[in-house]
Amino acid sequence: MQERICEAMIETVINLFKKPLCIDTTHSIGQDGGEELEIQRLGKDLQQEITRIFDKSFAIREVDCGSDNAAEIELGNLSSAYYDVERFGITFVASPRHADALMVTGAVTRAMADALIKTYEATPNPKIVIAVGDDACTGGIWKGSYAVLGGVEAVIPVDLKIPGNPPRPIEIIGSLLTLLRTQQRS
Amino acid sequence: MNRISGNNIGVITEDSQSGMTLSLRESWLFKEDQTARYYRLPLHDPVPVIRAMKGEGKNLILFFGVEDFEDLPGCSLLYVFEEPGSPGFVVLIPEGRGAIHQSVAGIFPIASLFEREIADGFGVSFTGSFDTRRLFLHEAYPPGFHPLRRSIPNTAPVQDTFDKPGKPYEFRSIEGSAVFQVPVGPVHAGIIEPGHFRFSVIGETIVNLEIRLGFLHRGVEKLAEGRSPDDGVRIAESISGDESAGNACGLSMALEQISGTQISPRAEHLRGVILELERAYSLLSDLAGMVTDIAHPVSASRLMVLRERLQQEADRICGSRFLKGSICPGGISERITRESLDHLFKTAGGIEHELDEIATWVLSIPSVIDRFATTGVVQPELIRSLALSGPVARASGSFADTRIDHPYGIYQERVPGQVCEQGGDVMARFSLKYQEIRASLRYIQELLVFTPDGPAIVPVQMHDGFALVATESPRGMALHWVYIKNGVIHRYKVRTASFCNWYAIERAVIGNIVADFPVINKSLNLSYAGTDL
Repeated sequence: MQERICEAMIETVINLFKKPLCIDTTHSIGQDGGEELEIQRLGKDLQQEITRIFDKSFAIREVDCGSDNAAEIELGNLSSAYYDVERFGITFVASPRHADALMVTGAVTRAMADALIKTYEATPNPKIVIAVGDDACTGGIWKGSYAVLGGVEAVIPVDLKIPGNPPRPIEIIGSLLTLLRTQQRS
Repeated sequence: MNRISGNNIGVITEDSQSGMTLSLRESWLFKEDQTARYYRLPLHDPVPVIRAMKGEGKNLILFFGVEDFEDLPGCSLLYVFEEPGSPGFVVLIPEGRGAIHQSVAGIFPIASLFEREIADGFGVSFTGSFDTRRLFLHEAYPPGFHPLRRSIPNTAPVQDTFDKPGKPYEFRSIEGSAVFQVPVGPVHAGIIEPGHFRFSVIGETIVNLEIRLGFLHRGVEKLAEGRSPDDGVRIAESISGDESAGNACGLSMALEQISGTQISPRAEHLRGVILELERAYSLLSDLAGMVTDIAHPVSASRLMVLRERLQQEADRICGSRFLKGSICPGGISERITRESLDHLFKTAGGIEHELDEIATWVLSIPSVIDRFATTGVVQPELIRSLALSGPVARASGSFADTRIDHPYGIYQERVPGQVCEQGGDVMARFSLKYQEIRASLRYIQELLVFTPDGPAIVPVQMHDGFALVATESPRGMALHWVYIKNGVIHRYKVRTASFCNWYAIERAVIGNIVADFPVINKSLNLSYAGTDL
């Protein structure tokens, strides 16, 4: 009797482990699969460039200076299992001191200008600044408001502008590739 | 009935015979429309009336200033009340339009925030208020700069843009030898919006938290002034990215109410689909955020993939992953095709099943339960005094839902699934949000089946007027009030759910440890941009 209970328990535990922790979702997303192939293709090229310039890892610090949070969501999506840019060598880091590049979103508000300058100064040289979204590129819809200074350029020098309201994750990956192709290893 | 003794103005009397619940005289009624009744009080001090309103169970949910309102010179104050059990709102407009008013923060604590907002915007002051610090204007703005005054042009207040002419902000301080302060932000460690959190802690335990926002203040309300109604909707859409459709819909409905436009049944149905799709993907990232913050990335990855699929549906429907441009005055975008809707129908069903599996799994893991249960409790008593709404209120035992209490659009015809949880902790908010996503996905499928054919958009013949509209955004009740004068926007006031809900976090974290702050914050997941405007 005891043996049978024991067996049943063991079986339950084994079944628990048999149950997949994560279902393979690749079959269900991107119905035509075209976008996934595109991400892989861009990613592979990106990885090559990152290896060439940064010795395998490219660290980005994100700063929101007046965005409506859509661009933040898309940058967050880049790390999701669907885009998973970490496999290409891109990491979003917690401190500007660990960063190779700053990604800045939003038309810079008066209240954030100071924080942006401090973040920029805390980032070690050489550094790249990328403006993400229409607001960050030109001031966008907020241009002319008393509360914003305009695009990121108005406050710190910008190396790359990725327009969009907000740009799609795949557009961000593509733009990064274009940028890195022009960079020299320092 | 007469709760105010010694009130020599004689405001509240005889109404018990007439069966009116209002202590307001009907002769004061100034305007009545589909959503609100406006009363002009012939009194300079509205405090006795407002106290009586509270006695009758009405709740102050919004309070703002308007310059040159109708024939009234100066800055009129509009107090907006919600009445339990009544779909319409009550708006009081007292006679006093000077620079000094009586504070009502002692009656409705949330009024303190509105008073600070009005003081920043218009330079009026409130006597007897317990907090007179600036709210959305930071040190970068010089004293005496009040951007919402019509006499102030929409230009930079100072020449030197990096100067800090304003007085430094004073945080509430908790003193004692064991207390120390933990300042966090505005630049945080993750990819999130800026805000400053000032914790006072004893050991690990939080004894006080003060949240300072306003870093994302972009001048939304001032920017809308003088713009055409269509431009106004594009501005509303940019208030908060994950609530773009909700805010565009709110302002569009207000404009349609002013112009007397009746949108087509097809547009009505598809607006419902769009709003629920936005709710589903916004809440999905809340769930993912909560499990990320307790170090359970496996489930977070799966939830993020579901969210990605819904955002791809949004892109397929209207060409924007955030549904921007999908709703406009008079209806919806004309580019929405039947094929994209069919695709959404299939995806919604699939996601519903997968979500069920993930949520059941997550909620059966002991370490998840250990971190979620009893963490960050929002007491139900706070709901009324802080005008809390949305999932925050519903996870603390409230049934408040704008779609049901103040039905608009398609919700007048088809009632969405109503969900409520007790407990008010992170656990309650997780299961509530899970059920709400499910209800939204169901509702989308139901609407898509019954969507009739017809025009996507009808022309809007704009004329002057004003209207108040309440919608249920993913985070709770959003209020839009717009005043059209000479064909352009004269004043646009928006209050998103986050504006009030933020202060629930200050209370919910007390007694919790600092390490639990991220998961508590994420379980509410409020919008910084939607608060700062």
